[in-house]
Amino acid sequence: MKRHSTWLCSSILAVALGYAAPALGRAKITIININGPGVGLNDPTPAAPIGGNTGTTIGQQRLIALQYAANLWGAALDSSVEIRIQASFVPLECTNTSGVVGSAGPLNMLHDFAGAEQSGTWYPAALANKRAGMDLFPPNLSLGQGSDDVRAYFNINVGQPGCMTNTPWYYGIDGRHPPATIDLVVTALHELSHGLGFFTQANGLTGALFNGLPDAFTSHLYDTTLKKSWPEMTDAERRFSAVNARRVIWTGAEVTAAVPHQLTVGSPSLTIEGPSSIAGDYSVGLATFGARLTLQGLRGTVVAARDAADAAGPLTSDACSPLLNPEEVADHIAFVDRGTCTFATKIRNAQNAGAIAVIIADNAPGNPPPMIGGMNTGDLTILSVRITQADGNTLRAQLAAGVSARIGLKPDQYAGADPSGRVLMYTPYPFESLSSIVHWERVAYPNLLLEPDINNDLTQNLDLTLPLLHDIGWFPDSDLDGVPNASDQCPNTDTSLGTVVIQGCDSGVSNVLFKTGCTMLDLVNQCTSGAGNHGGYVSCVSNLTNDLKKQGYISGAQKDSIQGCASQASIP
Amino acid sequence: MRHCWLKIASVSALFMGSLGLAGMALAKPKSPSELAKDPVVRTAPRKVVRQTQVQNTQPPRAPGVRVYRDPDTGEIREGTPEETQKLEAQRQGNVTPTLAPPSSLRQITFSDGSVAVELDDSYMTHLIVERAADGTLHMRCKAAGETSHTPPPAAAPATPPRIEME
Repeated sequence: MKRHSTWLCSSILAVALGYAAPALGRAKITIININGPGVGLNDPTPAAPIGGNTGTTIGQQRLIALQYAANLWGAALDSSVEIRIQASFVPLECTNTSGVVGSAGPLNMLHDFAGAEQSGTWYPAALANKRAGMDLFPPNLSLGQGSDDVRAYFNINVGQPGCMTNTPWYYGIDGRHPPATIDLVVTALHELSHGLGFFTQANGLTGALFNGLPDAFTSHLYDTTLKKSWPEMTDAERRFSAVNARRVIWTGAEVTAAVPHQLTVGSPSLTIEGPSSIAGDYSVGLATFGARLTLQGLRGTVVAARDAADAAGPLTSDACSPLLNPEEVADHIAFVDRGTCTFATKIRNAQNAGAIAVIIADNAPGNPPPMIGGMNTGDLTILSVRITQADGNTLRAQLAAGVSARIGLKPDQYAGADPSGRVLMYTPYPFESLSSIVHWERVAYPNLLLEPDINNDLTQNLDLTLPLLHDIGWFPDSDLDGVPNASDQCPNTDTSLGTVVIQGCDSGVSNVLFKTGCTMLDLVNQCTSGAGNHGGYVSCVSNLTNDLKKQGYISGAQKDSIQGCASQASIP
Repeated sequence: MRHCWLKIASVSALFMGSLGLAGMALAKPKSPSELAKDPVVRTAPRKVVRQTQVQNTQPPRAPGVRVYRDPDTGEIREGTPEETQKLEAQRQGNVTPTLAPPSSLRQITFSDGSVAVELDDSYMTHLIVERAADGTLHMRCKAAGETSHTPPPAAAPATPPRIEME
């Protein structure tokens, strides 16, 4: 959501001061270059290093930028299995004014694999591998997609004549792309998120789940109107929910916990305070110009603007001509209908009549109300908002009786969350394929990486997307032993040690990992810290190995081998 | 060298068990012996036991991403005139959804009971850039080659959208 810059400072400060970033993870994410020689990621055209990108050819710079984005994700996620991104620069649909700059998605989805958190639930391949602790698509299975997990395309023609001419990619990795360029790192961060699991196979148009099963993503969707999660719904209910604007929330605990650190307090709203029959909060679309919404809010009586039905606009309520009732509108909130002339014209006519704000009622179905845009708006200073056609009809019917309203930011609600602090998903009406459901609601502020729009103020911050990936199963696991940090009682296990080795003495005993997150060697090493002298240490190891033998984890010979190493060690 | 994982029954059950330990880490310290409970298991490499085709349930739509993959080598390459014509014909046909038969996806059943499906490009999200009249750029993630679909939800208004200035 675009919002006034005065908010920016406070929100950045809040994020900087209030949020202790989660511990960084480690996952190896590799960009697999599938371009042929001489093109795309192998383009040999010389290029000057830019924005921290040291590549000296176009191909190198593209690869460095993509790998940089992959590394940002790799530093945030934990997986012991390499994540492979199949990437290429290819011609994608493009014209001089619009084009596809990138596409991405998982290559495979799986259910009921070893390590799945929920049975009967689809998981993207990279997440399934992480949870299984192994590559579920090893090359020896000779499957079509092999070990690659995500496919990503980027438009090779961006910036060339006929394809967003003179609007080239920015290959710098410093997050400081100039205007009229497209930041490849931010683009890749967004698209890779979809490949890693910010994604659903469910069909929002029909409501059908893929093969009748939910996926890890939809399992966390909840409709506050239907009071059901997506897996609980019928197809018809999901079809309704997919376009139930600002009523579908994310229920994952990690995202909800991160809301106070990532979103700013103050949700834009039109609050009708009277008459009581229509009192309540109504969604608004904000203008890109004029006065901004404040926490204090602006209060006033809503008055219908009247103008001539003429060539400028056929309705007496479209405000396309100078208003005929300035004495009624002055110092009040003008209510006008969308249509025929520009938003700027309507607002200018209302402003000239003395209105303190304008509410524009949409003239076509759709929800939530989009933004108000326009050109040559430098003279427009009053507040203006847009409401849906349905809400406009509700208000219009009561105007004669007197409608009192407040337009402002709700101080008890985060921008982008519902009143309970749960983040809203993007479920506009009409449905938008591959955009609806799999993004955050656009009202979120500060702007988020996974809103449907890539806003210019985005940095390389993974914001709420990282906790969402945690929610769907990318649990933090800093020692990569497959046991979540939250339950790992040996969080610093060295998973590279295959046998129990004590001060160079290799017992030859397999270094078994237990579901407590501790290996056999971790447990032996715990005897070190608790022992006051060597005898105490040897005694502790002896007790431990006796128990391990008793439980059947090691044989008598293996017990003796470990005890032998312990007795030889100079510990403590 | 990686761990030598012991082989015992259901990994999934063990994994769920380990998740259930959340919150216990701060309880009273356990002795080394107490922490030696239930080895984690990684199953041996699986085998494919069955391959089938399942219906692609994504809605048919214009293929915004004009990418051609050689059916033999899997390599991305320029499309042949025949492929381009075919794609354009599909694109035109998709204006009327019933003309576009749904494609199918390969589904694989493994020996451990897990099931995988290979997704095609219809499951990819597309990042679209648009240049507004004032020269500003707007980037939006959506299906390529279309603006929106209008499904008939229970509460959907009956009036079709009108195109208005702004």
